[in-house]
Amino acid sequence: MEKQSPSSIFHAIYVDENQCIGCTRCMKICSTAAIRICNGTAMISNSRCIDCGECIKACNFNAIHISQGDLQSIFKYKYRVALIPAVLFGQFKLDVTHDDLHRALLSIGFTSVYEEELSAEFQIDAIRRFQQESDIKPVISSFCPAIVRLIQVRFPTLTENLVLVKSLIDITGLTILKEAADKGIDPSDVGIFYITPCAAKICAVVSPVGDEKSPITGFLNMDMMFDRLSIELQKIKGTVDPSFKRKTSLTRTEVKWSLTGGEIKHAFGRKLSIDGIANVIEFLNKVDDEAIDDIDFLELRACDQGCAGGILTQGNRFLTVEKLMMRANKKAVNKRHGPYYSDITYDEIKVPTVNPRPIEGLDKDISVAIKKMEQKQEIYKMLPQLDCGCCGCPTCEAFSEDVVKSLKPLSSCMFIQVAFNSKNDRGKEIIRKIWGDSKIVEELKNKLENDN
Amino acid sequence: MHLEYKVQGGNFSKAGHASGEIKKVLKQLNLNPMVIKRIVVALYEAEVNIVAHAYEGDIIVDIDDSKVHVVLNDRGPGIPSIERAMEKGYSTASPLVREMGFGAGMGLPNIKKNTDELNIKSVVGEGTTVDFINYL
Repeated sequence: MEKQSPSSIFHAIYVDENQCIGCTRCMKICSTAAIRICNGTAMISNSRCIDCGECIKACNFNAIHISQGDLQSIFKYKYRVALIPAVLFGQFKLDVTHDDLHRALLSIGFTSVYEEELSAEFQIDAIRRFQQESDIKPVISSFCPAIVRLIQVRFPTLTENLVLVKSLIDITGLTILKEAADKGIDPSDVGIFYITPCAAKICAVVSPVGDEKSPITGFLNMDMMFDRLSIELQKIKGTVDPSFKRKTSLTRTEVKWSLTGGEIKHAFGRKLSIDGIANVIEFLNKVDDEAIDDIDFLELRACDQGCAGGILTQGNRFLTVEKLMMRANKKAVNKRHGPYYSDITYDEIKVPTVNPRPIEGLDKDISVAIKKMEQKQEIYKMLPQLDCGCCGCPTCEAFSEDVVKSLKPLSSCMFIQVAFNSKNDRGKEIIRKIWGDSKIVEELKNKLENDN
Repeated sequence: MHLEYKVQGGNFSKAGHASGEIKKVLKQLNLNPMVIKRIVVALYEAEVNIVAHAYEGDIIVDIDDSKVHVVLNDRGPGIPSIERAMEKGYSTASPLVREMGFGAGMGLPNIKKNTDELNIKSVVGEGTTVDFINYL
């Protein structure tokens, strides 16, 4: 296994070793090649994982889990705030009103409810300032925490293209604390709990990139909250509460913010929105080569359909989008200009920098790295290049890399095994029948012996 | 370490393929990301030049612990005036090539900007050799 790098990198995704059978599905889908199979189960590299959640979607055995927030922990606080993303609305039927959802959250035990997107205007401002103050092209949105981490790991030079602004969750968290302070409430009495649609946002809450601490107290997983809220909504269905008055409501822009295309309308110049991690990587590769240099702004989301496709959402992502659009286009939508709470300065929401943390190369010493690279290419030529995954690596290329890093013996490759075992003629025959002559390279045994 | 790639003139769908492969190799050598970026940008421009102007070409990369040396040879029309080609905005690309989004006349100036040593030799009617070095 790859050496675990700084434990300071928090991850919300972990493998349940009792459930995992090492089927390789997650390993093959992982966009940062962070997974290897070891002792029959998947192992996730701490330094490579970006918490995008693709492995969870790929798992057929319910063996990859996401850290769970504890609903009971909210009761440690006198003021219990539910911070909800707009996609939560999209999980329920259209006849569940905004009021219903707030009432359900209050009856679970929260004392107030805020929407994450209430401070979207601050992000618009930050994006525009960033575009005006630098000549960087393209400016890249930092809304999706999985994308920010993807760029840190796979596109380290593009970290300087990211808008240096706190996450929407944190800005709204700041809003909540400021509003509480205005009322003379002690901030230590306030617990803010974010209902998260995905794993990456858990990481954003627990260890924000480029920032020391988040004003958010904890997180609650949306799938768990969906079940809990459904029960509560049943109870309040058809009832009226004359004392209830909802404090917050969202504008059209805010409702759509987390969906694909939600941000780009507000950026300057030529802009694109791209969702789905494979699509994003394809495009960023081109940006990285400077093959694309005339786009001004990129809105990138790891999940298909933006946050509607979050791994913890319950509803179908397309229906979620449709339902949110219905809500956004209602006449009753809030026409407020500017953010819900405006007493926050640009300096308070800026983050100093986003550090690159590139995947480690073959060796720290360049001349050693060059030697290992040559070896790696030699090894790769001997491999079947089928990317079968039987060696526990996602591709033959990744395997050859693990071999030169001495993380795996060459004999982990089944094809190499058969070629080496002079007694296993039956094995060779079977492989030849399926794959032809090219996959058994018997000469390589001699070659290897000569080399050593 | 020695790498070689073939480039086909006119094959725009494959333009940048060799640069991408070389980028992958450089990334694994633990080089400074900004150094990699400059090499890849220069390489990409030069590769696209072959695709846009020449019939065929090859890319030869030699890496040691102090430098990356890249040589791009092509068989093509050659450059009549290297001096003019080095001017920003000067291009001999055909209208068709420009329509595809290439040929803005930034190729050679951009290569110059991103390399430490650049040497271009060209014989009209035979071909062009772009030879550059970036120090690590």
